[in-house]
Amino acid sequence: MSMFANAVACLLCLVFAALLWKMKGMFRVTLMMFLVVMTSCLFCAFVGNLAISSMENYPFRMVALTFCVFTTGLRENRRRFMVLAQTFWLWLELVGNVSLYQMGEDAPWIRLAAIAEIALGCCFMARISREIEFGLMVLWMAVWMFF
Amino acid sequence: MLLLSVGGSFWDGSIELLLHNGGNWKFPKTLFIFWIGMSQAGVLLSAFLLIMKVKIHRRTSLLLELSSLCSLGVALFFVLLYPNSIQLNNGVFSIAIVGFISLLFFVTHLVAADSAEDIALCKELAKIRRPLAWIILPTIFWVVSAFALDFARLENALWLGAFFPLDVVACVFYMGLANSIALLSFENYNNRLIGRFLMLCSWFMSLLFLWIILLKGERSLASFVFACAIPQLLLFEVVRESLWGRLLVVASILFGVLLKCDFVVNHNDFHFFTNASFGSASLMFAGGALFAVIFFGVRFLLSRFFENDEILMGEESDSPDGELPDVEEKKYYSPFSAPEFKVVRLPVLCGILAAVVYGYFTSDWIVLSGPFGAYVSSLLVCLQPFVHLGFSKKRKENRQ
Repeated sequence: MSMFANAVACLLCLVFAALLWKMKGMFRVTLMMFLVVMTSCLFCAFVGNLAISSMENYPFRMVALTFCVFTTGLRENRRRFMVLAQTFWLWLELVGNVSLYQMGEDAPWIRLAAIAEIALGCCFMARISREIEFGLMVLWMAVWMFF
Repeated sequence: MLLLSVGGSFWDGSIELLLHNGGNWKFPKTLFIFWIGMSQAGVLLSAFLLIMKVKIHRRTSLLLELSSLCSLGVALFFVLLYPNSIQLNNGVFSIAIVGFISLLFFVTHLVAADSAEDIALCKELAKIRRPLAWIILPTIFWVVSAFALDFARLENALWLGAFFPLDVVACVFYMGLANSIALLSFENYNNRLIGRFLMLCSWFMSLLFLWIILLKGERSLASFVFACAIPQLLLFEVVRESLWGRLLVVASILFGVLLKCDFVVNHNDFHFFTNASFGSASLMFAGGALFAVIFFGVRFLLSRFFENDEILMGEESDSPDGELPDVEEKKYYSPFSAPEFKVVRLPVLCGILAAVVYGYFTSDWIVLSGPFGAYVSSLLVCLQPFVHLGFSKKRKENRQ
């Protein structure tokens, strides 16, 4: 996927997270999540080249990034869910990388390491201030865009 | 049904396949994959609900965990019956490890249910429930992903790629939800929250089907109809509130997942129907019957543990049954100081060390190192209550 499309995907994730913040109640949140997954899949189908192996989990990586950003808006158990969301992203990346490795293709191991480091860092954080929230979002976007 | 299909297998000659399968008949493999999925489903859902702090009864949790263990027994039965069709590799050890950890998880719940009067033991066991779930959840993700990756590498290159493991984990989770509704229905219970969650999950599963079509150009239409389209009947209150309606939907989902397993093994959308024989039906019903016999047998033996409407989330309960009070939940904990983290930190460190040592000496970093680490961690976590109780007893004796 081109750099521009990648940036658009990242922007979409931020929009999804903002929409998720506004939803209240399990049913509405899940419905919104369904729309997020569907939009991500359609975005990848129209913008990306699905013949490329690394595109297989791209929409789900978008969902993982959305979850990560979404957790910054939680009021309770924020650190716990933040770590869980990043672990989900980490799992997706790990499985993706191993499958790429099996097919003899290059896998972005640096991205995996970067997400692991941020997730580990989140475990050490005490009360997460707004500045740290912003810093985390910037870090996630940097990982998304540059690794 | 089982007797009818066995009788029918004499009529259409498929009894030969049932008795002397040289390995060409792949249906036992389909069933093996299905039951392996079921063996992960129950405990995955139980651990997930525990971690997400969803309020459920101990009964639901115990049923899910027991169903996992019974499904593992059925999968083992197929391996023993058809060793030519089902070839095992290293992955089977990881599944055995998950089975062992599930057994520990289940026994922990059982002992906690039995020791409601022994508050000290109950408190100690309550402390290790969620830490165990924290170990089990990633282990199942690891094992199922490794199983899927291995299957794609060894059996069918079409499934090579990052999406297949994700799809398999989603299917396992979906099976767990369907299974829980069926098991609760047999107990004469109806959990509306799980029902709603199942319907929502069916939408996500539909999306995964759509993504497979976009990605690989493959579609398993029959599986989609049974696993995703029919569950939409839950939108109607008549179906949702009726026992038979719920059971119909659950049976349809499980059959749909079975068709998907068949599609994955044979790479043909309608293979199940075009090659249907009474032999296949016999084997399918035999698996189901064996599961029912083991499950309800153990359920009957352990009925005094199950018939206890205690809320499992002791931390959220105000019931005076020996659980921890609610006040602890609202408290703020600084990083790495939450009670469950204190329980899990040393065992997990030892587990990681064991996994690294195992990986270093065997060079197997993908299949077994993770489950081996989880095995060590869960063993150490389960030892903690006994060590604490032993120390506190000794302290009391010294005081006297």
